[in-house]
Amino acid sequence: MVNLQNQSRNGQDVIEDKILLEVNGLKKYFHVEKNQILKAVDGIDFTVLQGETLGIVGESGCGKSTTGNLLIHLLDKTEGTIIFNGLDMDKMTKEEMRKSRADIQMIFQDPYSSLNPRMRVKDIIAEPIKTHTKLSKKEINDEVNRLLDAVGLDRSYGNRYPHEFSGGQRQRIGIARAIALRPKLVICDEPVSALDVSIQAQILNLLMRLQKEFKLTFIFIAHGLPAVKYISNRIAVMYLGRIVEITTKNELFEKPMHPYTESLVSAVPLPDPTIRDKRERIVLQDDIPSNLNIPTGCRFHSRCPYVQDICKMKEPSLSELEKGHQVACFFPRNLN
Amino acid sequence: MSEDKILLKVENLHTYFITETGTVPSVNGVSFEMNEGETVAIVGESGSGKSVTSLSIMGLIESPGKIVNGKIKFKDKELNKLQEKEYRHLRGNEIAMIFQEPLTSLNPLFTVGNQISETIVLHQKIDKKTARKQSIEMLRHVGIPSPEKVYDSYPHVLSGGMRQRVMIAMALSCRPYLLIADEPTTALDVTIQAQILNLMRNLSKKHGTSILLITHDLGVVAEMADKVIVMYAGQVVEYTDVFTLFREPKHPYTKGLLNSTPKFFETDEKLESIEGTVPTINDMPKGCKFHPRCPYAMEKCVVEEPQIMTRFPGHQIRCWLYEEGGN
Ligand SMILES: Nc1ncnc2c1ncn2[C@@H]1O[C@H](COP(=O)(O)OP(=O)(O)OP(=O)(O)O)[C@@H](O)[C@H]1O
Ligand SMILES: Nc1ncnc2c1ncn2[C@@H]1O[C@H](COP(=O)(O)OP(=O)(O)OP(=O)(O)O)[C@@H](O)[C@H]1O
Ligand code: SF4
Ligand SMILES: [Mg+2]
Ligand SMILES: [Mg+2]
Repeated sequence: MVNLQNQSRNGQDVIEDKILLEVNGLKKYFHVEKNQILKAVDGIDFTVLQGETLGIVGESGCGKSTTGNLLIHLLDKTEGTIIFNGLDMDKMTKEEMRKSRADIQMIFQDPYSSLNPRMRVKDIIAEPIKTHTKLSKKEINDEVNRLLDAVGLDRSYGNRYPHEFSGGQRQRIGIARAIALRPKLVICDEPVSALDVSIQAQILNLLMRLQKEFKLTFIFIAHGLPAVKYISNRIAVMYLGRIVEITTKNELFEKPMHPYTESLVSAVPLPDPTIRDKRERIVLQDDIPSNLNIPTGCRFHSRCPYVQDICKMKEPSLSELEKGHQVACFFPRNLN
Repeated sequence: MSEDKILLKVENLHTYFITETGTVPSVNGVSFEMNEGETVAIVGESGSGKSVTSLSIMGLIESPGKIVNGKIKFKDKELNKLQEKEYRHLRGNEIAMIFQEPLTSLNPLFTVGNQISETIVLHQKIDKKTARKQSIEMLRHVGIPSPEKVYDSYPHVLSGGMRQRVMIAMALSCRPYLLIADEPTTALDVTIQAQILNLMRNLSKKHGTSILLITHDLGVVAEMADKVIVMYAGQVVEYTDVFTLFREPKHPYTKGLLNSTPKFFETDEKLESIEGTVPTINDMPKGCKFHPRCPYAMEKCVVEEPQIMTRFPGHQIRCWLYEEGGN
């Protein structure tokens, strides 16, 4: 079992020893122009425990959103298994499938385009309840009010339309809709990237409060490390369709083992001018290779400062090098 | 300090957009100075007027926008009195600008080399062959691998990081005194961002180029800036050196901003957040524009607008809390 000992306060008391989601060998290939195959997600394995927040970070195009979209069935997988709440999604009955769809919800990056502009806020929030339950009109209305309270919006806002709200408020609406069915798992795909800094903290704190209140499990996708670090218990780092490292957040930031993670952590601009000349930055020189033409061997080798011959020929597999710390690298850093 | 030479002085700048639905006071009384060789960062929320301020300096405000009041002095020139022809010569020569999305500022129909050498030829009287050589040198200088190849490439085949480097190469090819960089790394990944920031820092050190850096990332500010301008709702609310700003922020908005930024290496932090929402033009509050969100707001803040004043040496603040220069 994964070591969650050195966890921060968030979620600590609600993380259970139960695996809610297990993903094995998950792949998504897209057939694109000129008969090429784009390997957006290329064989990933991970588990998510009940009540925890798993962060997924990595640069643009590495397959984060595709992973999320596979989990909510917005996309069909090319290969692999997804086991949710003990059930293999490929072997679910219709009823189990319907239930799992209600149990996994998503919050999107862009609160502007993900809300129907012609619907009132209360109808947006009520929509999933109407589709999935048999509650009466009155009951639905009460529930919508409770949800508005929960996300910190005035009940009277229910009668307005999305365009009347700021980005942060729209994100609150999106969150209310996502938790309306009391899902088990919520996938947050860059939920704060489009928001102002002062609003980002509001939304992060709101998500953490709701997690406790509604016993939610989160997958939190972002390419900004500070937000991911703040909200996650464990973090998976993706590179070109693969997970290259996965461990608890403190471990990841204190002793990153994959050279890519190491460079990511060293590259994050920190809000403290007194340390700027003292920090050692590992600057990656090359630009990112395309996922139409993934390098042989370790897919990071073309940018890796520590590359050796073997890295160009063999692909390292994700293995547990220390308890609860998995890395895919032949020459891991910071090993005890 | 007495040797500091003022390069740019913006005084009481007002830039408004006069639209059918009303007047948008995007920049509403902005004043600041920057010295030669300095990097000054402007931070603030979306819509606070950062880009409009920089476009005003560049003379690129288009109708229905208009500088309705204020002065912009650059070296010995008063920019807002320049003829368009003089301005055009200044742009790309003495002042250069790079934007967030380099693809929109590069012409997709021409090769990278074509565009760089054109700028060089335009501003220095040299022949095409020399311009080509200089361009390739410049591309190499900004860390582009195989610059000869990139010289003949079209912008769309380059990655985001490469395009931004091309933009920087173009901007710097004429050795400007001032480089205005509007969110130059916002669209890029962290590792690429680190490269670009590194590049800008080195170029500024080497050539003494002043940089006006617009960003909403306090991490980027802390890494790059000598001084920081904090904007809120079209106004400067705080202006001081970077160390003072992070150590002792004074304006309640700046304090809130710093408290809502993850510190990253602290393990058990709790972020505070500034409650409420950023005001829009339609609900711009009277008095201090920050008062509806300010935890320290007093009666006076609701009715009367504070002016920006030097409250401590080298530290300007727009807030009633510091009326008597107290703490
Ligand atoms: N429907 C699609 N058809 C073809 N290619 C796709 C499709 N969706 C995604 N891709 C490609 O798959 C790769 C992974 O995309 P994905 O959106 O998962 O990246 P991401 O990690 O979420 O990036 P970002 O941080 O930019 O959101 C990219 O190269 C993308 O262009
Ligand atoms: N062409 C225009 N017409 C009307 N209003 C405009 C125009 N350009 C800018 N504005 C308004 O001016 C205000 C300031 O805009 P500006 O682009 O300077 O913000 P900013 O601080 O750069 O924000 P961001 O961080 O989102 O880039 C905004 O309210 C914006 O809507
Ligand atoms: S003037 Fe008043 S409302 Fe404005 S920031 Fe200062 S204390 Fe807050
Ligand atoms: Mg994405
Ligand atoms: Mg802007």
